[in-house]
Amino acid sequence: MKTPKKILTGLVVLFASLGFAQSKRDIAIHVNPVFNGEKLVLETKKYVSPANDTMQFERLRFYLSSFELVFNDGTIYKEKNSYHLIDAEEINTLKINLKDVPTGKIASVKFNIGVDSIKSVSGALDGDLDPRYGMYWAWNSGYINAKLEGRSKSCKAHQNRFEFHIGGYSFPENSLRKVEIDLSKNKTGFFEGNQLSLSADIQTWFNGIALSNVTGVMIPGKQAMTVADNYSNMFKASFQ
Amino acid sequence: MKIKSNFIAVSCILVTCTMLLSFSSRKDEALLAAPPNDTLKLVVPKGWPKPVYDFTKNPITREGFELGRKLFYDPVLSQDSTISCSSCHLQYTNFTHVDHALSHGIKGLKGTRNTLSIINAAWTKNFMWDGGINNIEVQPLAPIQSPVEMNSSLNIILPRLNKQEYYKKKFKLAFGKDAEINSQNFLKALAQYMLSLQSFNSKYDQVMRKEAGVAFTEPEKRGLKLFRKKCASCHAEPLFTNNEYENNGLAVDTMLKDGGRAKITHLVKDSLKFRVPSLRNVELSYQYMHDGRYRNLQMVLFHYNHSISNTINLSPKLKEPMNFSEQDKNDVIAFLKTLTDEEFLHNPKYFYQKD
Repeated sequence: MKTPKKILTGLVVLFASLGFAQSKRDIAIHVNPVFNGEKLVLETKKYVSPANDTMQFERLRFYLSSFELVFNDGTIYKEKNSYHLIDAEEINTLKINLKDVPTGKIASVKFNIGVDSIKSVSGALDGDLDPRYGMYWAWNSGYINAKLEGRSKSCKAHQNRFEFHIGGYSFPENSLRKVEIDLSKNKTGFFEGNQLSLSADIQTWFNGIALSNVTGVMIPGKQAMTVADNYSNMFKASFQ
Repeated sequence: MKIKSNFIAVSCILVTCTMLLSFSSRKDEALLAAPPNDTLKLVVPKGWPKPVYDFTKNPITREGFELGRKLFYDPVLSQDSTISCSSCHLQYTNFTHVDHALSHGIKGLKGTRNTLSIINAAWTKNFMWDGGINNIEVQPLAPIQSPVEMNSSLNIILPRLNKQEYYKKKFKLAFGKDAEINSQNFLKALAQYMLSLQSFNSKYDQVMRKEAGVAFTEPEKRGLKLFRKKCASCHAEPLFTNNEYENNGLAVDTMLKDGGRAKITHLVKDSLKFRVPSLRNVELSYQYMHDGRYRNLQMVLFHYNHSISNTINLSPKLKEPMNFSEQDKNDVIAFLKTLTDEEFLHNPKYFYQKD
């Protein structure tokens, strides 16, 4: 009598898990760099900052990590090994695929801008955390969480260049920023699809920053914290 | 269960065969590389703390160690292929740069700090005079990228290594048949070599282990006593460093203007503090101090006895004068010389090997 019972339980578990597996899908997150709502074009296009600095951008890279989707019922999907280097010059980095996400209504998306302190002290890593992508500091170990470079006539530095390299992983200079974007206030109620767009507005970086005063940030510290606070507001979500 | 045990048996046979094969084909190489009884596994000597390095993610293997050694001695790492790690880290002088206050990189460019030793790295939490590096695996990136050292980068080095059949083979031997020449494997191999640089067989160690026929002389005994009283609060046994940062009273070099640890932490309380270096093999690690200003141990002892500068954050331990007599100073130096580990300094397994 014991064995059939076991088989039955096994079958139930099997079907349940099969049913569960069938109700999963992949979600593509598209990261779209913009400036004041306009699509960001590197090198050629000129933009004007809130402090009236006219500028061109040459490089934009940042890490997005620890993606979580919070469902309407309170359950949470967490992406495993969730570290993504976004590079405005590399189109294929602008799409993040979240695999095997359960179906259901998603109320919000959570992620970090930057690399957490645990990974920052874990030695030589691979994948997007490979230290060869110009996003790792050699003399003061740790990742550059976000990087923005360009030129502006307002900038008194060499070749009118400004460079923002924002990093630092330890208290009180931890520039990792947590982001949570509400997806429930949309007209359809919740996000249930498989394509989510995140626009990243670079204008936010320059909140309260005039390039005539600040030509860049290259080390962890107060200025880096300010810029990180600024860009923690750069994301907006949209979906159909 | 049966399938499982069969699988284990087959795997064991396979592994044994592979080991036998690799050993027989590389017998000469192995003999050249290490003395017969030598082991590559890190030894934790009795009375030492637990190593801070996590070996589970990068266990030292013969192949990884040998690859790391090859890379350590290969000038291809520098931009113009003129200098290697070993240019400034010489084994006979405790992996430091003998006679150089400040070392020079490519094109004779000079740095701003004295070369630190890399021995007993498995017990070192943060590296460099300012402790800016948080893991031995990422330590090589600093000299590689420094414009006055190698002025190079992973993006320069990895394609160069990838062009060499020799390295393609060695990376696979070290990290598996599908292993690539990538940043992670490159840095892990270098780490394996550096972590293997263990020194714990000086006369001091032998005396502490109560080995037969080894004893301190009278001056060495007196020196040890003085050392424990006046120096060991920072240069703590058995590593001869407390792995902390201190301002040891050096007058500020107005040209170098080096803030030390504060450069990393941005804290006023860390201004002018530098790493407390280990004193193992100190006899051969000249020159001394973070800027190499002292040429010999007599000058170092003179400094602690007579020329402490009362600058910001001076270590409280140095506020009381040392009051060493001439004989005291000589005794301390006699003791410091017992920290020389000739076996380590001349161990052929760390040498450059031609193959």
